[in-house]
Amino acid sequence: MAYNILIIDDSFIVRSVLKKTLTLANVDVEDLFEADNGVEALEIMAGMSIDLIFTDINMPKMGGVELVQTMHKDSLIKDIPVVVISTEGSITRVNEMTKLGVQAYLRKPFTPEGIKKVVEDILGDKSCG
Amino acid sequence: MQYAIQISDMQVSGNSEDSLIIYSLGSCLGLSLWDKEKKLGGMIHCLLPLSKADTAKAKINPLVYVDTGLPLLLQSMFDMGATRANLEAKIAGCASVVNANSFKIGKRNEAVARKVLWKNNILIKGEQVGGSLARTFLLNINDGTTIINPRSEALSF
Amino acid sequence: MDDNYKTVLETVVDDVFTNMAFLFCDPIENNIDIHKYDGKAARMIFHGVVNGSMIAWLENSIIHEMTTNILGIDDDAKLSDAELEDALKELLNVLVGQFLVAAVGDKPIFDLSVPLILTSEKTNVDKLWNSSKSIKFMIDDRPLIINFHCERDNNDY
Repeated sequence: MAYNILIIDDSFIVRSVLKKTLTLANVDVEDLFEADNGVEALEIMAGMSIDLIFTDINMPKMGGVELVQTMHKDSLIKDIPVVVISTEGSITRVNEMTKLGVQAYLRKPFTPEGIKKVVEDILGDKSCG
Repeated sequence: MQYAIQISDMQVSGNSEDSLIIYSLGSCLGLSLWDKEKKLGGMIHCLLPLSKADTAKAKINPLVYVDTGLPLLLQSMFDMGATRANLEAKIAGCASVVNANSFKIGKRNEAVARKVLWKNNILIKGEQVGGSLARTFLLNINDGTTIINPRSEALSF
Repeated sequence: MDDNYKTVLETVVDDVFTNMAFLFCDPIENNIDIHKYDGKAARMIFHGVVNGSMIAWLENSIIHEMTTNILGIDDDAKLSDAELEDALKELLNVLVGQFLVAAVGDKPIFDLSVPLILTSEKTNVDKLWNSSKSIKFMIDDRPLIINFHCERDNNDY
């Protein structure tokens, strides 16, 4: 099965590292979408069926917390698995995001191996070649 | 046959009956590569992270340093027919077994190994690094399995 | 700068550069002619149980090396100013996040600004270098400055 994956981060560098990791991990990607912030991400989700989301928290226009809260209220997108990748290490923040259905929370700096493991945990071992 | 890799040395093999082993890895880096298609393996045992610490020494033996040694191991594997996409990399050691300085050496050995692999588009498949205990690290050429401390409390990774 | 914060910040800077940029920085106390070097600075503001800001000033070639390392591309790859500035901002973002948890624990939530590049007109590198709120490092022979102040400090570097 091939997956539609959405990467949301205002840093081009972070998006590039995530894309390279998904490629090296042989994740079966159908389409890979990128957004600078939560507003752009919601626009993409309105038009495409997404299987997995990676999102930062601290972004302009709409950050990751507001994005996840908005998704939580929308029955069409609330079940999309979300992985938060953030520099924020507050356990209070992690708990808040987990309650909203976030499946994994990785702190920056992350390793590509850590990203691969999260993808396998969420999409299954066979998602990575 | 089992080949012991000494400090600042490396070995590659395509013989399915071979295994490669590093004894008593402390702050040193032990790194294994295994080509899952060709069944080729290699292992390196580096002492220090960066060759710029002593460029003359690095010229005599580049395998002392991770930044000059690891590219040589990769090249040896490619020369034997291995390909990047089929390589499985595992790292071990990089511990802090003596003092604060060795902690930095171990941490830096690990970081340079990660950098070289990342720049070569290779993800790390398994790792047993850090902590304060010395490790013995074994690679079986026939199936690419790796074991820490094979003789006592063996741990596959 | 508070001595406790200084110690925490030194550790965080070392960890982040090692793990994220694969670069090793060593604190320096002696003076150098900072005007010899060209660099870029970024600034980030945080609000929470502690309010303050952090500025990271890095010599240009450090930013280039760091960016190629993070991306896992060739050392001499050509990069645009936008890419280099993006990497500097991301580094600062991670420094601030790691520092706040290390300094005040993992309970409080902080409101973090988006990191911004400071224009060269607004960056008084001399003042940054000599500020008591700065800690200074060298990567090889290249300087970097991390300037930090919190609510009890004067905002003027």
